[in-house]
Amino acid sequence: MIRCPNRRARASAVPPLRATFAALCANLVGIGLARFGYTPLIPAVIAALGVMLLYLSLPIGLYGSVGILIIAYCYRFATTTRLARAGFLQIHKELEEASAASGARWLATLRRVLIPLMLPALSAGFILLFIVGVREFTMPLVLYSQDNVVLSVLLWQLFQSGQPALSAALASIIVAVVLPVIFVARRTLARRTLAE
Amino acid sequence: MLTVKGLAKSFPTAEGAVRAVHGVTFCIAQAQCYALLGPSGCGKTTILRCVAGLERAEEGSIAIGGRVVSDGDSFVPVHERAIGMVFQSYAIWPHLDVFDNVAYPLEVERPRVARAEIEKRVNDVLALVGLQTMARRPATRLSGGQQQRVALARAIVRRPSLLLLDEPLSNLDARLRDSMRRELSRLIRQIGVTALFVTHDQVEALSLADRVAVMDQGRIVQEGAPADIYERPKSLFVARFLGAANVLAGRVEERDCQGRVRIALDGGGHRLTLVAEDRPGARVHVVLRPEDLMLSALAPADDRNAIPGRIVAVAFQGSSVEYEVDVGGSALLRVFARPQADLTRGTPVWIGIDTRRVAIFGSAEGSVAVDSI
Repeated sequence: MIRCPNRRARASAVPPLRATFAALCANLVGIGLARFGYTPLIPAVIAALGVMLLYLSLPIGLYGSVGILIIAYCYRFATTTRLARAGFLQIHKELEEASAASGARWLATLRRVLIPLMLPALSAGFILLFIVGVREFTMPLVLYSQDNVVLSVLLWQLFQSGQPALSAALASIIVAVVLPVIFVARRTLARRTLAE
Repeated sequence: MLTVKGLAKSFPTAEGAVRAVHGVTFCIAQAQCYALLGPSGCGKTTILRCVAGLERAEEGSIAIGGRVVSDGDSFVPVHERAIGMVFQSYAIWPHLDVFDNVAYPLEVERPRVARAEIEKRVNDVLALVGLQTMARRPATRLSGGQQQRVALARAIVRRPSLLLLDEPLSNLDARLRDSMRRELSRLIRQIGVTALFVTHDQVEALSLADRVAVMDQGRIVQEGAPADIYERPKSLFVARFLGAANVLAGRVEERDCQGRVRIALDGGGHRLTLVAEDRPGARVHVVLRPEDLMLSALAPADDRNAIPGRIVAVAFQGSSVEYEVDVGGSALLRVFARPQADLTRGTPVWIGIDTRRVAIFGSAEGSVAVDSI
């Protein structure tokens, strides 16, 4: 016969297991959607909750760290990989083949032809990622704890705790950081478009 | 120099594997210029890519300069083959300037080539293609002809034993194509490289190559010297592909003891008497080259091989005029002739046919639609 302690242990083990399983499924679905380019379909709150549930139940110390934010952001930013992919597809196949036909090994082709040609798409993706990342609010709000408060969450906290002056100052800092990046990006990307 | 034996290659598609090339065998001698000529989709580019090593053949062997680079179990990758290749799109790297594009094959060469040596060889080859003043021009600022020269310079800078050209002139406009064709011919002969090029343009193939292989549906259907192929096509396909030929369908009516046959042409009810092997009753196709036909306003004395018709279109082309003549059948006959003032649209004319210049093909290809290419 299975005695009480055992049964109790089993009963207490079931809900977290079930939650883990559910979170895992949700994450898999999320990854699947992301794989096929449907990431924008998942609301950020749902994605953040899914990540939270999963890493709360997994015995790896990611929850509450910056790591979990990185993982959560990956969902959101999968679009950028589409951008890089588009950049890669834009490279005419013969440009790559011409390198091999010139006697270059694969690594030399990658280093001297493919990466330089992809650089504009890669840097555009990076800048987009940077801007979206800085203003991301929903997911860090769901996932923050003591050690991983990001600027946007801090701004909100300051505002909530009745410190509008401080939050305004922080907002100014955020703008001051993002603005030059956008400015430079617009200049270089516009020039590239003109050159083409 | 290049030996290709029994080459076969197929590509997977939604409807199963499609054989792009089967049983192709040919040889190119040292310093020879060889053309693979055929319509798009005939497999000529696939052969070129197999020789380059960009595709792997399923069957057959390829040997470049006596070294087997591809057969049943061995495959030498592209970058280890001593080739130079000019791509259809030219594939000039847009992030490099002219000099760096041309220097690239030397820069990636191992063991390393000394910088001074690279500069000397690149400058030499740029001078050869007439781009010495443009070494530092960005690749994005080049005209079509200049891109072609850069692509050629890049392909020959390593002094390859085999030069491969994929539709080298198809991206140029007509006038530039003519001058580049002559220049390409001069360059290939000057550096004495063995060249294999593919083209769908018969003028290009006939004027550039020492030998031409005409391809259809993955096979070589005829191979030979340009003049030979043009004068003696072995099949209706080759005859039609090599010139803007007129093709008339007909039936052999009778054959006399001297080997002459009388052919009744479909449609107009005209008859031709020619020397041929075909038996009475056989369906035949008669191929008439536009430049072998003679136009006259008066009926010739011997009208056995003259067809009456009416001019429906006149296109003046400078040194010659292209007349289109309605002879009553379904197709119009095209005739190239010297400009004649009295032949205008609507004029009734006689088309004189030089029977020695007529090619006749039996009914094996009877299903081929009859019109002029």
